[in-house]
Amino acid sequence: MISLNFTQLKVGTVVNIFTYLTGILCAAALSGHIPFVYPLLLLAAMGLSVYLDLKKICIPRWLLVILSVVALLYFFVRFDMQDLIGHIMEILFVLMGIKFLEHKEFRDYMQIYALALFVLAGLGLMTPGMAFVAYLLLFFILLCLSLIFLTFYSQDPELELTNQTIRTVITKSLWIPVLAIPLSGLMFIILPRTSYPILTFLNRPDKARSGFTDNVRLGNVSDIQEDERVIFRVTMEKIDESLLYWRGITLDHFDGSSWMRTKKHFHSAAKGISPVGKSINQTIYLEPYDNSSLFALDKPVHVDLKAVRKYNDLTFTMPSYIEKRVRYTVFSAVSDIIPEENIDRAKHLQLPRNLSPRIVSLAKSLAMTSGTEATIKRIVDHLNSDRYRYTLKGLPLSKNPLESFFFDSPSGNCEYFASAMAVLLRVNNIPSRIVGGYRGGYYNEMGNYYLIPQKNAHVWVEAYADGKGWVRFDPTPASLDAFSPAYKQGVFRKLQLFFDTINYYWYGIVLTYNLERQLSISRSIISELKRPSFSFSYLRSGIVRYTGIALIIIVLIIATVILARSAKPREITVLNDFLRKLGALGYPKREFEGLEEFAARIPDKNIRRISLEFVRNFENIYYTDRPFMTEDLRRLENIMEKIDDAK
Amino acid sequence: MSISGFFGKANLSKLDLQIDFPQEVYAGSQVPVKITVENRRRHLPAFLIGLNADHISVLLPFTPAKSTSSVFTNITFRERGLHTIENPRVSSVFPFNFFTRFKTLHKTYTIIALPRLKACDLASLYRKERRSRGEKISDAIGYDADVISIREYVRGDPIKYIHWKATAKTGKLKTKELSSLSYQPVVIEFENVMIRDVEERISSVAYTIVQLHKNNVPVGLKINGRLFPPDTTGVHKLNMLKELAMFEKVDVRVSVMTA
Repeated sequence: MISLNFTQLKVGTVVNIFTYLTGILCAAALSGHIPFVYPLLLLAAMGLSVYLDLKKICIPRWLLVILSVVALLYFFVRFDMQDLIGHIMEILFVLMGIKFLEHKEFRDYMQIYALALFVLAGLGLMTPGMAFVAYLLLFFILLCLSLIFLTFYSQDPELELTNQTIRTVITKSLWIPVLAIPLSGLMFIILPRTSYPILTFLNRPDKARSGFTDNVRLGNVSDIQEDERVIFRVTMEKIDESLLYWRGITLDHFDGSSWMRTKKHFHSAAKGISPVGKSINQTIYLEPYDNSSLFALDKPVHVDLKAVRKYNDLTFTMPSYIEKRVRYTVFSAVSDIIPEENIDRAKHLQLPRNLSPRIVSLAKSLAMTSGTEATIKRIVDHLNSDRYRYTLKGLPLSKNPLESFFFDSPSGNCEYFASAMAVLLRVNNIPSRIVGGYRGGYYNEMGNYYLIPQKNAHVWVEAYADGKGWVRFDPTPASLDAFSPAYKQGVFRKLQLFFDTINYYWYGIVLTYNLERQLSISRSIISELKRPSFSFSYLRSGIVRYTGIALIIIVLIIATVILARSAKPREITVLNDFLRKLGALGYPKREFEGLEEFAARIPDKNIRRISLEFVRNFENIYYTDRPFMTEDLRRLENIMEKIDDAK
Repeated sequence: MSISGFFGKANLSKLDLQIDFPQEVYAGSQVPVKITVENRRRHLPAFLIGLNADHISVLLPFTPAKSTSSVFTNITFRERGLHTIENPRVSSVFPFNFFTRFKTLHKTYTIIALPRLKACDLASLYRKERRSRGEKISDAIGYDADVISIREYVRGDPIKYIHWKATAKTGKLKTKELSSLSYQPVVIEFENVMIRDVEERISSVAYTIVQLHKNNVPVGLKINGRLFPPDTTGVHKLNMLKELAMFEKVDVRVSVMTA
């Protein structure tokens, strides 16, 4: 602990300390979100400012104004719609640094706080997670304290405060944020909210997240970075890990190096038969990312979300890119098969024109006469043989990536395995397509949800078997551990999971809280109140339970008050009642006034007589050290009642 | 916003204000005034309490709970007479300097500003008169005139006051007690002072009273048909000066000038 050994501090110094803390908070909050040079710049400016203050050097204002204008111009030149928020944050940091260098007066401090507020608002747009909330709360507390000291400063800049005074001011002022924060929480619940965020346009998904894409390209990346960021969370019960395929998109057109999606058809109820399997409901919280596909446990049947589009390959998309966190519920039938008849065979047998003859001959060599399913099995076995190796590093870089994969360097990631299988199937006249999505996930026992990170992006194959439909095959030999490694190792991981749980609830409760939910909550309250008949089962309903709890609390409070009252001697209670009665009649007893003295100066003759009688009776017992008996008290109360008659 | 409003309101509750003036406040001269704020609240200190009563404006930055704090300021009353500070307003910008909250304290503070003192020559008239009449022996014990009584010697009594004769008679040391000489008392008849301008006359008479009192001359005043018999006490002086201050004045709303 640093012990503060000062007796008096100028109030300006105190304001400065809090203002510097605010600056440090901003630098800490944004470091990692913007190039590190900007927080460093701010800290350097603050250091310089301390030096200037100590040396009592003033940089002329006009110089700093010119500096600000130059900085602004520089940023306008570099202006880039892609990373609007980032750029705004950078300029805010520069401006704040310049502001710190100025000789600070009241308005300068206010400007610094305003800039800090904007910086934190920007942080909120960048990461609306719990970290942001923590920074915001800290900032709020700092802001309250610095504003209070700034108020002192504005009244008298030369004011000196003692150590003790500063401590008292801080401890008492802390009540303001302590009370204001829960109140703001209440406001959050009550105030009407728009369903459409206004500011998200600022935060276009500028940094494409690696992982899921709507096409699969082979041969142009050699190393894949593993991305630990979470793409979505799914509330559901834990199921067998081998069933965890999160369907996103299907790709049916291969041009030799990449897979794409041809024209999509909306789902028509008449055409497809729904898959049959164990039904599982999920609630999914999808992070914003650079596409419009929605993910769901394979095979999703229904997605509950406004404006969602369902296609006949059982994929779902939104009309536009997912720019804010969305929450939707899915009904899935867990099954390997999508029953479908009369598929577009030509589309799913398409092959690139210049397909290498070596691949064709390899494919033909794997054909089985005993039927489609035997061929499929042989192809899967071939890809799972020791010849092929799963890797994320040193992927074949080539114009004909598949040929390299088959014959030169037989190692690759899921994209290679899935492409290889789909092509081998198509050569053998078996319709096939590639499905993109995610595989596996970590189950968070604390929050009962699956956590799926970006690095779990995966592609697999669906092959069409006559009479059955689309059957899922995953030719990638990577073990399940690659997708669901033991998350339990290490305290750090556990801590990470713990924080993710908090974030999850934060997203689930706070961020998806909007006008619709407000309306539905108020509707349900109103309908509960309006319900005309009182049924017995009603007793068990929430409202009654909470009313009960509230009643118990009220009773407890009353009981405490009564107990506290009875803790006083009974005669004092009677005396207080007597004095209160006279007070109500317009004869308040003055402090330090004797009882008899008080009674004697009552102008009304009758009341004076009764009061004196009461007082003497009271004093006779009180000053003789005799305990008050019940009959004494009753007598006193009887005398007291005469006052009512007298008036 | 509501929380800060609540704190702002709480900050002005249960406050008491006391204004202490010096005993003698002369119109036209600067006097120090002590302003005390009493905070009767149990927990919350009083922050940044400002007092704006007419021209008094002071700031008390911090008053702990259940405590008082004071500040001094100089004010000047321009006119003699009774001055009243009615229902002063305390204000505070606490907590955030966004709004200034006021509260009127229902209290009245009165002060009589004594007349401005103006040097004049009335005293010299008296001195002339005194020379012609001689001195007057008073009953008060002093060291000037006749022996009034004899008492036991107390250590420290000057040797020259030892009553040797009595000492010899009784065998114990005895000390003489002498009477003190006092001046001829003087009564100023206000109506007969030959200065036409009333204000000037009041100022001159007040000056004379103060000067004579300083010289221990019993001085009296006849004004408005009322007689203040000559005396030398401070209370008596104040009474006369107050009478002068209130001469032909009913009540003056406070008109002060801060300095």
